Amino acid sequence: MDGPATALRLQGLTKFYGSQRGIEDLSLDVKTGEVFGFLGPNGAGKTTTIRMILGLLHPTDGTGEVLGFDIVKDSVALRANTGYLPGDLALYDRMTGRDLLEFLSRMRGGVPRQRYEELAERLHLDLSRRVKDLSRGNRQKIGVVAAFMHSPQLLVLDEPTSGLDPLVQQEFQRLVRETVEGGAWSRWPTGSGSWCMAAWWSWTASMSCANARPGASNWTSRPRRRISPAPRECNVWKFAGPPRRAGLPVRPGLC
Amino acid sequence: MSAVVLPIPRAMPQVLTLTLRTLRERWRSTFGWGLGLVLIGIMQLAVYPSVATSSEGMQAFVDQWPDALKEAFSLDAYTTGAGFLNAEMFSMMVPLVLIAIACTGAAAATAGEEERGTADVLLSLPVSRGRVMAAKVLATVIAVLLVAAATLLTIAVGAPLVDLDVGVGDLTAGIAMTTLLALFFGAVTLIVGALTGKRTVALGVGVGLALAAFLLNALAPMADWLEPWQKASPFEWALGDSPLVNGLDVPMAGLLLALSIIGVIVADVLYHRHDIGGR
Repeated sequence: MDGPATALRLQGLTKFYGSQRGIEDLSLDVKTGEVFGFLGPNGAGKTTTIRMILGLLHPTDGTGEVLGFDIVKDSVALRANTGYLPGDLALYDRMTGRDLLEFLSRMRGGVPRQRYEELAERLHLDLSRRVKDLSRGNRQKIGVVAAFMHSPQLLVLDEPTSGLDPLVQQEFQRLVRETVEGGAWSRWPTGSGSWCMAAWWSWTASMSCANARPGASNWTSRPRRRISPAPRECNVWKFAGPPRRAGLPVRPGLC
Repeated sequence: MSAVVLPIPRAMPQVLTLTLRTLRERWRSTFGWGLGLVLIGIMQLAVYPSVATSSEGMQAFVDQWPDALKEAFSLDAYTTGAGFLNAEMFSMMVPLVLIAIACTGAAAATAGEEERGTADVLLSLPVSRGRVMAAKVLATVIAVLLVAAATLLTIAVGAPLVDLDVGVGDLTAGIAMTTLLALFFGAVTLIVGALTGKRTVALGVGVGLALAAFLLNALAPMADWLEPWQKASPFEWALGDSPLVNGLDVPMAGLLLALSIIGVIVADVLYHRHDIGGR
């Protein structure tokens, strides 16, 4: 097999907005079959980067490509093949979990009901209750199901385990592992074992769930213009290859 | 590496799914506004016979009012069927309720999703912002049309029962002009919502402008310095020619429709350029 294809490539991505925060000149590559951890202190611009990849924000400068789709020009096709879990998840409160997932599935052109029912069962999620009556953790589970249910080729997860209890976090990690390794999920026809995966965690989430230990030498600092109150560093960790049970092998990258 | 690339879903099912979802979400408030308007219509119709039987006294009473007041409250032909409906329903209640539905719908359309934070989920789906805009506009137009139709039906059925003389064609024209007026202010609200992403700002500007236009139209006859400005009020464009008496004012209807469509297009362009704010 040839080297894995590039799943995600950002080149010189820059976003300034207001005088608040943003990112400047961010370049990175994620290969298919890779779990990529994107770490940084609060306000470093992790979410901004993610929201630019999804087309929610327009880059001030730079380019990005996901699976060959340009993040600006081919945003809709990109999103058809991406599963996204927002960091600050907000759902339609008045719907039941099942109605909500059915709506999302229809907007995606139809995902077999069996898929999200199965995922919900794995995460012990009761789909018959209204979203507004669910705890934060259970809402987060709906977000996880919504991100995984259409077997996307790229998963973009912003603090995916926040609000989940430790047992569900473990189940979530198994889900990620299976997805990347093409395990249980490969029987779904669109999966075909060619998963690539980018997981974006906040500092704390990745510390606890991925056993990633940042060393001082991997910590880069670069001056950033017009980003006043935000911290001046961010750090990219690349988890090369499929994550293992004992912990995830870490290859640090820079941004 | 045989990665299966998922296609972009087809437009129609996507737009209809989102339209239905939006309608379901707005169903309760739309039903409430509609029921209110229908009940007011029934109440006014119930009062009409007593106005008609005492028509001479009533008209004489109204005639004593200053001309400006009469004009402001559309009282010039109070005891005729069309005049009564004009004064009691079409000079204020019907337009304001339809405007309220159009503006709340338009403000919720893009800015409401953004303010609640649900825009992140919606716009991470393989749906273009143009389709989202189309579905949201469709849902709002349907809501306004449903309430307008219910009002029309109530008056059209009720009027003969109380011997209120108004042509169904003229009545339809009156409702149509009012609906277009509401859609116009809805389009204004939509533009502000797409530009700012703030529901309350959009609603404030849309409803605020509508109220200003309403007051301008109502008060202009009373103040000489204000009178030339009456022509600037969309209320005057829509209802100045008394559609309940004179039927559809085609040029003005066309103007309101064209401005509304242009407004939606402008809103769509702005929405495409808009950065969706995080919560």
